[in-house]
This record gives sequence, C-alpha cells and structure tokens, in this order.
Amino acid sequence: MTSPSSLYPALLGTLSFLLVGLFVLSLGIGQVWIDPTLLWFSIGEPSSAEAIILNEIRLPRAVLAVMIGAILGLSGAVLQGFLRNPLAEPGLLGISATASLGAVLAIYSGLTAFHAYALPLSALVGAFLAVFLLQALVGRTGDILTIILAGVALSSLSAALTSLILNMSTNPFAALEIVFWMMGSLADRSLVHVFLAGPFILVGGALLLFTARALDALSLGADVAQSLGVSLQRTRTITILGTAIGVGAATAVAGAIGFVGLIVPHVLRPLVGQKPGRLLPASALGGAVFLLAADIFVRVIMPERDLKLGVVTAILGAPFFLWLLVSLRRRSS
Amino acid sequence: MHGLKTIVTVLAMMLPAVGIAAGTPDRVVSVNLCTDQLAMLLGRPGQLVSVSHLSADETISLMSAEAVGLRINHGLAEEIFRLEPDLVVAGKYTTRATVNLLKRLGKHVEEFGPARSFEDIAENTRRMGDLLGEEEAAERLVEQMHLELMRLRDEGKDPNRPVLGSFGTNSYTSGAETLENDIVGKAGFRHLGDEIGIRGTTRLPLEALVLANPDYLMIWDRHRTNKSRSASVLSHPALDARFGEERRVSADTRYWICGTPLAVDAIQRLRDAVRGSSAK
Repeated sequence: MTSPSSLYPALLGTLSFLLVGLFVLSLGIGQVWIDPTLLWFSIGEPSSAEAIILNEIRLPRAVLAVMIGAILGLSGAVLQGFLRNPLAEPGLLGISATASLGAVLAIYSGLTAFHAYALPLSALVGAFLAVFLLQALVGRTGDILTIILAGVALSSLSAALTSLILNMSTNPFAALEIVFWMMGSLADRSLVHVFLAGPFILVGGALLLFTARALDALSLGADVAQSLGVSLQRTRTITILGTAIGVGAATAVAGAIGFVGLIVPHVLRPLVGQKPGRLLPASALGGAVFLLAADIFVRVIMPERDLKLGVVTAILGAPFFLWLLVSLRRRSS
Repeated sequence: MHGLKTIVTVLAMMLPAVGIAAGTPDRVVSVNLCTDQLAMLLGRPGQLVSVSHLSADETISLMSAEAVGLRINHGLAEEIFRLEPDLVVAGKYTTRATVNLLKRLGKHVEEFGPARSFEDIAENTRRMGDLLGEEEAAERLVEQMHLELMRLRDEGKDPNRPVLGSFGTNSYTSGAETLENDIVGKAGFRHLGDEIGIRGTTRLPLEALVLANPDYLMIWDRHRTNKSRSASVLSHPALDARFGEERRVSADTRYWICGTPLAVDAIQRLRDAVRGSSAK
C-alpha cells in the first residue's frame, strides 16, 4: 500500500497532463473542429477564418477557463483550510455574487467608460466586502452553520441588488444579462478579458499559495499554529486579499460560477493526505481541469445555445453538496 | 339571485362588444411599439388615447414626436384599465399577463402577430384600419407602400448577389421568415441567416459568423454604441480582424424593428449604406 505522500508528485503530474490535454481539446472543439496546431503557425498573424477563430475566440476562452478554474479551486481549498470548514467556497459564501454586483455597478454606472480596469477593480471591491463581512460575522468561532447561512444571505442580497441595478438601468439590454451574472459563461470572451483579469488572478493566486505553510500548522489547531510561529492575523489578511483579488477579477469577466471551489478540493483531499498546504497546488490544477471540462461540455451538448457554465457546475455541485452535508452529519453523530 | 347575477355579468361582458358593433372605438389604447405606430398612422385625432413608453423613445420609435401628446403606458393592466379603453391593441407575444387579465376584465383586446414580410405589413395595416374604422386610410397606406416597393424592385435575381447578415447584442441574428429577411432580399442581397438555414431570430455564435463570412455585416448603430456587457461582443477583436470597414454596414434599428409601412424606407437606406461602406 502506497501512502498519499508518495502519490503526490504522480497526482500533480496526472492533473497537469489532463490540463494540457483538455486545453488542446478546448482549442479544437467548437462549431467545427479546427486543428489546434494551426495556432502555432498563425499566432500573431491570423489570416484565415480558422486562424482568427483559434487566436481570437478559442484561445482566450481556454486561457480564461484555466485561470478562472484554478483560482476558484485554489480559493476553495484555502477557505476550507483557513476557516476549518468543509463547506467553504467562494460561490456558497456569496463572494462570487458580490463580485458580480461590483462588476455590474461598474458597467452600468459608466465607470468602465473611464477606464477598462474599473471592471475587475470594482468586482474585487465587491468580493473584498463579502469576505470581510463574513469574517466579521463569523469571527473566531468558525461555526459551520453560521458561515453557510451568512453566505446564503449575502448571495441572495447581492443577487437581488444585481437584478435591481440591471432592471433599473435605462440600457435596454441590461435586463437580459441577469442570467449571465448569476450563472457565468466564457462564450465569446476575448484576449481583452484575459488581460483584464489575468494579472489580478495571478496576484490573488500567488497570495493564496503563500498560505500553504500556515494552513498546515493550522490543521493542528490554532494554539499549536501560534506556537509554531504562524500569525493568524497575517494568514487571515492574506486569505481575504487573495480571495477577493482572484475571485473578484474572475467573476468580473465570466460571471459567478459556483461549486468549483467546493467539489475540487473535496475530490482531491483523500489523494493528497490530510495536509491542507499540499492541497493548494493540486486544487488549482484540479479547478482548471474541471472548468475546462465543463466548458467543453457546454459547447458539445448545445453548441448554438450558450448554455451557462454555472448551470453545469451547479448540476454537478449541488448533489455533491447535499451528499457532503449528509456525510458530515454522519461523521459528527 | 344567482341567476340575476349571471345575467348582469353576461350583459356587462357583452357591453364593449355592443359598442364596437354600433360604431368605431373612441378610446383606443395600444401597448406594443408596433401597434402603437400603426394606430398613430391610422387613428383619427383623439381616437388613440395612449401608447406604450417605447413609442416615446426616439432611439427605437420613428414616431416619438407623434407620441408626445398621448398618454404613455407601461403595459400594466391597472393603468390600462383606468384609461377606460373600448379597444386595446397589443402584440401577440408581449405583455401576455396583461392581455389575459384585461380580457378577463371584459375589455376588447385585439392582438397583432409580428410582421414577417411586407405582405404581413399590408395585412396588419388593413386590420388596424378595420378596427379603427379607417379602412380607406389603411388602403391608401398599403397602396403607397406597394407603389414604393414596385419602384425599388430589384430586377435581376443574380445568384451571386452579395450576402449580408446582421449581428446584434448577445450575438443575435435573423434568418428566414423575418421582416429583416424580406428587407434584405428586396434590397438585392442574399440574407446570411437564410443562407445558413436559420429561421426566425436566434443566437449565432461568433465563431459561426466568422466561418460563414458574409460579404457585408450589418450592425445596428443603437447596439454598437451601447455600453452593456451584451453589446461587448460587437467590439470583439475577432470581428475587427475579419470584417474591415468596407464590409461593415450600419443600420438604423427604427426602420427594421416594426412591421409598419414605414419599414419600406429601410430598403433604400440599406442600399445606400452598403454603397457607402464599399467606397471605403
């Protein structure tokens, strides 16, 4: 019997392999199959229709799926580790929903007309407020029920306010966007969006990865962690900032995509052993793989319809969440 | 007691119908942008009491000036009921709940289907004329439209005519069985939606548009300058890479959005716009 720790490099290797494979597949699959190698020959100078589609439509889509999936998986793993709460996840905690609210505010108040980066920044502020509020509400207790209920309240409130803004907007197309902001989609995004969100997601991701050692210590209890020289306050600050920056920017360009941060860490946890720190890189890779696969799936089953990504992740995620609730109760009884 | 109540109710429900039979309606309320414009074109002064708020919006209504003197409604049953109309004209697919409720309340409601061709426009115009008691005015309008269509007729049906397609917010385009299709055809172009087998108005993924590669891409100017996320696809780099200025056609939504005799102007406007773009 091999222990999880000896499997760890193999796990990361497998996930990376899957990631590359799905990335290439994501470039090829769409309305018609396009040979992904064409990208190599046409990069920077696309001339044919196929080359334009690869360069300008599918490449940004695949890159965004990787980045957004990674940050969602990673933030899920960090939140679960830091709050020591197996149900923590940016979608369930209302962080994605408040980020959507921030993005919608930026677009329809006209802020984005001044500067394009107003979009991710405003979403980031929304996400920051959510994480901050949750921290303030839940405090040190970290009670599972309180934090989930607080998340439900935040999600509903943000969704309602987002609808309110979109309905009140004099822009005739605004009300049609409600579904996008609630469910998320990567359809027809461009490299512009990659450059808008990319830098923030990278910074947020780096911050979150930085918490690995502290999370390992925390898994032994707060007192032990402090005696090991881990500053709870600093870890909290990094977690809040990393999640807000990363998830905020991701939501600004793709809408709120739920459950990725819930499913991925849970599936991977048994494979990495009970070390929260190790779970972080694995969850980032796993999140990217999961979102790439989901995005390929929506294109394969309904190519014309722009089925929202959040629909697929919720259909997979909600039953998983319920199963998790049941198994948690069984464990505690 | 019960019997009397039934008789009174039945009588009350018959009253508006009796009013119509006796003469033409005196208080007409329209709740749909397109029936608004037909009614404004045909109604005698004072007959049309209220039109929808969309008609007052100069960016989508060709008759916003005419709507100024009228009451503006928002398609809500309560406000329409309080206007005490003896005829309500509505679109077939909009404000469904309102229409059903008004019917329950015993109001005479006439629904108009969207015009899918100039023939539909002629039919809808005549029907509105009949309802308002302005049959002659309607006939004159239809005749004028037919004369104009004859004048603009495109003689040669060259099978190699250029293909022209529209692209709007949220990647929507139109195909066969739409007014857009009829206008584009009458202007002397093949219609992209028609060519790739689309019926009605539906979503066309950006990829599919790039692959279909129409000779001209028509974008509604009202959409192009819009700041919403829905409109962001119209400034996607893939569109710029594929469709240069000389293949972009900008169109005024107001002439295309509604099946009224005014839509005939869209034909010449489209031809001029294409000529203007090709010269770039």
